[in-house]
Amino acid sequence: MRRFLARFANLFRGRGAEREMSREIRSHLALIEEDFERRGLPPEAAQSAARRAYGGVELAKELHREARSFAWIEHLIKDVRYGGRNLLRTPGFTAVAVIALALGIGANTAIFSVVNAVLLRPLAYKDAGRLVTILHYGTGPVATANYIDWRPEPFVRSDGRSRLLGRKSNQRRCARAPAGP
Amino acid sequence: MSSKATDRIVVLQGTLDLIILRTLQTMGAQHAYAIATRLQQISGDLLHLNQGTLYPALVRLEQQGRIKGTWATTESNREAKFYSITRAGEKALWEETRRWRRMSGLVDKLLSEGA
Repeated sequence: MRRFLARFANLFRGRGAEREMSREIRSHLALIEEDFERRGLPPEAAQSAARRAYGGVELAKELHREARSFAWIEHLIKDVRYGGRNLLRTPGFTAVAVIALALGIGANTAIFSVVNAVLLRPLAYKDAGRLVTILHYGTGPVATANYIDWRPEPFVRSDGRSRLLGRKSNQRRCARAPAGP
Repeated sequence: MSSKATDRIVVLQGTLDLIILRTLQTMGAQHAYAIATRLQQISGDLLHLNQGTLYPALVRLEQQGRIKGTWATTESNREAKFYSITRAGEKALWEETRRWRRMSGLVDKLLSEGA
C-alpha cells in the first residue's frame, strides 16, 4: 500500500524523480571512474571502463522508471501528448478527421433517437397494445366528437342490463337509451 | 552458452532485496556502487550483476520504507546517495532471513535424501 502511494505520487513528480535518478547515476559512474583511476587507468580509459562496468545507462534508467512509478500510465500520457502534437501539426487532416467523426456520431445519434422513440420505448399509455385507430370509409380518421357519439354506451343500466349502442359505425345519430326505468 | 556464463549465479527474484538489506545492516549506510562492489567481493565474482540493475531493488525498498536514501559526500569528496536500513527494513530482513533458511533447509533435505 505504501509502495502504491509512493508510485502514485511519482506520477506527478516525474521531472523531479528523473533529475534525482540522473544525479544518482552520474555520481555512481563518477565513483566507478575514480576507482579505476586509482588503479592506474588514464582518465579516458577509466571513463569507458566505468561505463562498461555499469552496464547500459539507458537500461538502468528504464528499470528505475518502471520500479518507481506506473510505467504504463506514464507511457500512456506520453502517447496521448505525442498524438495531440501530431494532430496540431497537420490541421487539415485533423479537421477532416474531426468532421468525419462528428458526422458519424451525429447521424448515429439522430437515427438512434428515432428508433428508440418509435420502436423501442413503449407508448406512454396503459395497455398500449390495445390502442386502435378508428377510420371512416372514404374520409379518413374519425373526429373525436363522432367517436364519442358512436362509442358503446359505457354505462350499466339500472335494470342490470348493459347495452351496447352505436354498433353500426355509419349511423349518424345514436339513439341513447333512456336512463332509468 | 559458455560455462562461464552458466557458472555465474542468476540472482533469484526477491533474494536481491534480502542481500541488499543484509549488506546495509552489516556495513551501515552505503551508496549503490559500494553495494555492488561488496556483492561482487563477497561472491568471489560469482554473483555478477550490471550495476544498473540494482536500482529497481533500491527504488522498491525505499518505497517500501525499508531503506532510506540521503545525499552525502564520500571520503573523496564526491556526492553520492547513501542508503541506510530503517527499522522496518530490519524487521523485514529478519523475516526474509527466516523464510530463506526454511526454504533452503527444505531443498537441502530434499537433495540429500536420496544420496
